Amino acid sequence: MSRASDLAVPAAGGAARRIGRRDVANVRDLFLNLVHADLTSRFHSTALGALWFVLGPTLTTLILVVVFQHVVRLGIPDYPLFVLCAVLPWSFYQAAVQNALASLTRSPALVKRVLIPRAVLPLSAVAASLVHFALSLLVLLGVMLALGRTPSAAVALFPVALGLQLLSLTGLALAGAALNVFYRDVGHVVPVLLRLAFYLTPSFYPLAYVPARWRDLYLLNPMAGVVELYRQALLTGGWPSPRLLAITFGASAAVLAAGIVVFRRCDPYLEDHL
Amino acid sequence: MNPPWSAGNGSGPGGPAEPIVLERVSKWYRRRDRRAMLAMSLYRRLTGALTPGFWALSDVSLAVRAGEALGIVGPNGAGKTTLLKVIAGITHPTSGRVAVRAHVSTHLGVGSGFQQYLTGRDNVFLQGSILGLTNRQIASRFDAIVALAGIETAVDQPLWTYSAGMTTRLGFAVAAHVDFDVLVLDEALSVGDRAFNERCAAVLQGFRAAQRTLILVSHSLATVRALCDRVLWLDRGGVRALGAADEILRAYEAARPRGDPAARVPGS
Repeated sequence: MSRASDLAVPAAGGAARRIGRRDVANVRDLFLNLVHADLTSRFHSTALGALWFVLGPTLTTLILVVVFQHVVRLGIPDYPLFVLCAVLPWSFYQAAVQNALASLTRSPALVKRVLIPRAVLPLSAVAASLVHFALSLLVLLGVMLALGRTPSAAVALFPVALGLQLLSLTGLALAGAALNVFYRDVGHVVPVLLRLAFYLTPSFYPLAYVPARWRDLYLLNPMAGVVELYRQALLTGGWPSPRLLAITFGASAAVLAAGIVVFRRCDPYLEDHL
Repeated sequence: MNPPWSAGNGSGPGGPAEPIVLERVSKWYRRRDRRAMLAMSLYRRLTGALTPGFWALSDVSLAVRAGEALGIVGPNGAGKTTLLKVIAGITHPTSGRVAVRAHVSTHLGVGSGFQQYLTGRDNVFLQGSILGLTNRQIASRFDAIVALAGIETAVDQPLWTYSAGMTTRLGFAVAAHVDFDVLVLDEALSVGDRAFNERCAAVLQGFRAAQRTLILVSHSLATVRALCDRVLWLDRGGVRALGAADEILRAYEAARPRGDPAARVPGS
């Protein structure tokens, strides 16, 4: 007899045959009910409720505007909107990852007392944050209309940007949630890394500021291309180079694939460690 | 992929004679450190050193017969809950083989997914979907669930306003409305008031009358004696005895030291 190691293949009688215990309609409803639960219970004791999802990005934007328009004077036109196009997707990214990281550890009963397809926990956490993102986009839309701006044809890039963002976001959410069960350090380290990654995307500066010979390397950060796409969709117009799309897609898909692999390998041992 | 309980694969009466078979199943749990130390675990990984832990189950073989009610008894730490987890698929055995050819309930205890800030109604839907129902199925059973739990007036209040008894009754009521061929119960019956316990008993009798299979863990020997045909006696992770309920329970009671706290406090 051998002991199970953290990430080894499970003993005979493993997970595969049991996945079929549930049909797709049940898993869909389970997912939706978890999203509903997340959205309903998140702001239960706050005075401002869901407004926090707008206030956070607004404050970040204000700070960046003051620093880079009035102190450093980058001289970029429409600077508040320019910054918002990066801050809103990033707030979504950080909130979703933070939510997903804790999704398994805060519900030990759903891991230890019942058999569910456990990936629905981080995935529903991401989906709940997506709803908040949609709300914050409404605010952005309001600001743009107030400034008398109408989106150009490049707004067609918006679903592309969102789709690419969801690829790497889902991958990070899956891997982070599972690894956080084994080492809670993950829950502390990932948000710090994300804050650093914010500066490695065209957040408060344009992509053109990045030296050409570093640009491919820079674009390996999946969010770098995504932020550029959001900005083209919502503000600057213009179309991305195929190279940017290809690199961003490749990097994002790689993160998703890694996330799925990590989650599947951790899944059989989550119960032992929680 | 076809679910294992679909036609031809055995579900309820007419299914396999032994819907659950365990062969030499063992389960190793590592001792839980306060801190998971990365350096330490890397060192162990590199050197192949054993992580400190214990065998929660060792070499358990068991064939559950279709339609029977199997009781599992044993002192605390005997491996009863671990055995149920292995059967329900919540955890994987470290070695040995588990063959499940029936629709086995996938939950231990009740109300695992309950959330304090959701209403009773929302919790019924959430918990129902956790146990495998679709929202449509839950909607059609909703009134019956609420009636069994006896919470008609509180159903739209948040769960944190419920008493402990109401919460547990609601959890049991949801679980009782999910269809299983094999129902696994872990100390679920020692909770409600008398009226509720009678309704629970009626649900379980109906379940048995439909020739469904029941696996019951309980410290209440009276409950086990009243419901079960066969009893499995677990001791320190191994099978001490398996046989007819009367015989095994008599031996278990005789072997139990007088004043054993595990025997006096149900659910401990």
